[in-house]
Amino acid sequence: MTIKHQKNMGNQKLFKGSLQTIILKLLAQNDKMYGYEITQKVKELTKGELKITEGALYPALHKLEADGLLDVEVAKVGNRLRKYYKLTEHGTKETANKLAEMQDFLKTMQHLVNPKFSLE
Amino acid sequence: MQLTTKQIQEIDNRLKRNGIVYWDIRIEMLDHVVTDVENRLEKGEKLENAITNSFIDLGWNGSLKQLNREGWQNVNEKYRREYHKGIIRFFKSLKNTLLFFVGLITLYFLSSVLTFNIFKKVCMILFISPIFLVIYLYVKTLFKKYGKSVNLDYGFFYLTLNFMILPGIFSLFKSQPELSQKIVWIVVLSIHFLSIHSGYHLYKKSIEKVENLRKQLLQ
Repeated sequence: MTIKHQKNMGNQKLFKGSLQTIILKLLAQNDKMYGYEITQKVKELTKGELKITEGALYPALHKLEADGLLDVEVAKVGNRLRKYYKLTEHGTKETANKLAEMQDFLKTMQHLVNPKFSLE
Repeated sequence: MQLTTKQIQEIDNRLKRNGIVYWDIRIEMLDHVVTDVENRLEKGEKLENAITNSFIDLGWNGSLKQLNREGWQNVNEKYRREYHKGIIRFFKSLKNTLLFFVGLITLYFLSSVLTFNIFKKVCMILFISPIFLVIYLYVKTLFKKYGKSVNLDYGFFYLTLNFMILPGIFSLFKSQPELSQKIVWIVVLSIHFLSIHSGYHLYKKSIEKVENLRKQLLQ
């Protein structure tokens, strides 16, 4: 196993807990998105460092939908149907909360991983 | 390059064989695979390889029963929430609230003027009567041949939920004094009709949803 592969595996583990927040953030930036588009967007934004597995993406999307944070719109594309997800009003508010939570968490982690010594 | 209906159907059959039994859960998985395969074809892969590689890369090559389970669990959660909301929504209309209390007073009146045995029979008839509506809706849906839909299954489940749960309450109070049994009948019947009202609207909604999806598919 290469070092790069090990690093990727570690990233994926850290990333798993943040999946819902990432989906919400992407949907806040784009009016509506479909599953495949979300996976490609994450891949593109992280330059392939992180990859959303489809087995995790759809349950997460369905959970967010069941919680009332996402709305679904279906459209015919080519010879098939496509499900688009977009934020509900409640979802928009929740996105702000989740992002704030994540930033707080990252700050805490930063303090733990890289503590700055002071004389106080 | 766009896949043909026949090629898409083959991919759909494969998802079904792998364990995604509900077609309304398969819709977006199918779109995912098809989009991926189309992208691969544009990059020069051959169709057969593109489909196989796509299933392998997505991790959907083996059994998908777990994904199917997670799919219906989330749909259930959504329907359960809607079902409870429907009961609360009932009281947001003044007409409904008045109707509810008129029903309650009528039951109370009947309990005081009728003998216990007759009152019990009247209540039983009232309890069973919505079953005819349930059977009618079920048969009507059956004839429309919607296929195995998770939305319809849960819509129907919440429409019939009372008939499965509430009879248990009656048997619990069977040995209690008549007055207690009368109160139980009045309370249970009120809950029954509220739940039937919510379940009925939920089921109608699920039919509408499935009908819309089917219309779009056939367009």
